[in-house]
Amino acid sequence: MLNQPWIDPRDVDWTSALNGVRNPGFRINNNPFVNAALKDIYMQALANGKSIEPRIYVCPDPENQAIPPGVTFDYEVPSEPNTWVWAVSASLANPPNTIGAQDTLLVQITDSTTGSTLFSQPTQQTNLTGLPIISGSPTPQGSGNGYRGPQVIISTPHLYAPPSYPVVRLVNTSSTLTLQARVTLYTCVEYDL
Amino acid sequence: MASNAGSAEDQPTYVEEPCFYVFTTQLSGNEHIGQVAVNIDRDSDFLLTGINGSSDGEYSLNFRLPSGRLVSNAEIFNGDLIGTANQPTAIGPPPIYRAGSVGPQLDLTELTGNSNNINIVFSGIRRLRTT
Repeated sequence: MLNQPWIDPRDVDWTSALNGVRNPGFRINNNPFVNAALKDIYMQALANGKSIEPRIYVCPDPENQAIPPGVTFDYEVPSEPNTWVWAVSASLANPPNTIGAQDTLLVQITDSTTGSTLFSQPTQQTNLTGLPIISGSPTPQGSGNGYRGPQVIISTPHLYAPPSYPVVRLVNTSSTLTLQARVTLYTCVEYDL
Repeated sequence: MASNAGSAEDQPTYVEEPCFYVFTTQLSGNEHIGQVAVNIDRDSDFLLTGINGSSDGEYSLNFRLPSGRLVSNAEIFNGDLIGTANQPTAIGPPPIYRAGSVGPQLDLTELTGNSNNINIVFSGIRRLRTT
């Protein structure tokens, strides 16, 4: 796009994975939403802070949690104090067996203390993947359909200050099918090294 | 003569280059391997900023940070972590693996039940100390 200012490559911090200019898929023309999220002041502070370590939480643990039909499953994430969640991804182990929207995994992430929720209502697992939705289903990586990586980067990182922690709710809306679910939280935490 | 200790002239200087550490293995069906080193060159530190790769089928993985702690509470499904070459999954803030260290030691579990060729690329920045 010619309406964006040219950026001198020497001005780019190539050592930060969370720099919206560094990664082609995060640039403003490719993905303006992620680009704006990475410019968020809290995200920048975390990316540049000292003694900040990345942490990834698989929810539930173990990774292939079988959720029986119609069951709601709450997983209390064993996060460390002052965990910042900055990206999410979700997937099913058995999507070929699902039948459209009837057999869907719904996901909600709630703050255990304040009760604040990430989504206004539990959202479909297919909305929590970096895979593009083609004909109603996530299209596998490598297919050339604009794969942007598995992470869904949220607009501003969410701090779970002690004593709070994230609670990941999984809802299997299928009446017959057991779904194997996994939600992955990309976080970082302050740590004394 | 006054000492220059602590002055700007005494600070180490570095050259930074793009860098990829490539890990390749073949796992048999449902095989698990643990704490496999991805050795870091002895002449330079490595800032890990992204992960991508390819495989014949599903597997799960976990790796260790420079502090020795595992990055994840459980092994992560490859589809939730492994990006593509033009869109590696962002790891941030970037952990710094020191020169000569064992790097991001990998735990891998094969999930398809069949033989699985796995390629994992750790992309980032190599930092060579020049003074």
